[in-house]
Amino acid sequence: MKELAVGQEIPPLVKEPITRIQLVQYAGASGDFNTIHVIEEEARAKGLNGVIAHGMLSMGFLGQLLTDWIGQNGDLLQLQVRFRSQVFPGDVVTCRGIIRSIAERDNGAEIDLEIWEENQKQTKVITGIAKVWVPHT
Amino acid sequence: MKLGTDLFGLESDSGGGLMAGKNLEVVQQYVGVQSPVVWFEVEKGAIRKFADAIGDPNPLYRDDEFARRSRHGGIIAPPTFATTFREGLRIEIPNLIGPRLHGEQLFTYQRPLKAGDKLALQTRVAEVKEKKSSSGYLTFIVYETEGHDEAGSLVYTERRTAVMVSDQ
Repeated sequence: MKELAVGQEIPPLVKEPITRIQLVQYAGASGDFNTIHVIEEEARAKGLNGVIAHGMLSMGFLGQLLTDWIGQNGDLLQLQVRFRSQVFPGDVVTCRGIIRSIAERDNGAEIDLEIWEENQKQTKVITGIAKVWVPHT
Repeated sequence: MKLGTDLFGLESDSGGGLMAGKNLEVVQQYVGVQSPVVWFEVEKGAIRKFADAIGDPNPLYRDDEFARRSRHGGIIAPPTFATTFREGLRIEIPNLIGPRLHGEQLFTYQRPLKAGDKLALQTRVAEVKEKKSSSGYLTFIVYETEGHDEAGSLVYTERRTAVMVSDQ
């Protein structure tokens, strides 16, 4: 891994537009069959503007942001998020992270990051923190 | 209160002689209640389908040979895969009022989940908190799940916070 510094932004992850079929796919893969994610009428009946993405799908994107960054020799130690805003089919979300602290540990660096995911309107849909360990190269 | 409102900008905690919300009273009786211990196997096919749904092409989740040569020695699961473990872990709390939202989620990992792992999971109602706002009560219910492997070692901890919104 390149030189690390507090305040540095990690490479962002831009996801493909969310699709309805992806929500069906995620429902099946995760076992979360809450109808607000897959059935339009049910979502509207619950006061939503249509089906919304699973919060855990969006959290999965943040997981990918971090595992892409740390690579196969790094460890994700902690991932914590707060769900703030809804994600809809067609939304394009971007995951981002900023290094907040770096500590030496076990011939590597333990790093705390502030992470978030924003939609195409730059609304933060999820915010959170993560802790990773990466080996010295 | 409308679904999707930012629930966390609210600063005023309950207390100071205010009457507690009905949901808080209900959930307080469930704090400490545990699910049974349920065993789950981390299946390779389930990992690939889960990674596909997220759109994560990482070869550690799908390429046997690549994963075998990695320091993990085999296929591992994406960080949020533990959310697939549901059956039998749910703790029903009857008589809750209002819509229920997923507010927060935390995973703490001792190591990644690996294909072939057999994990013993148990969920408990860990905590309940309440905030009062002008429009009613927000009740935060924290469910904590621990996953141990066959050797008895802790593999991960999950804390899931559900938020109930009610005007009572």
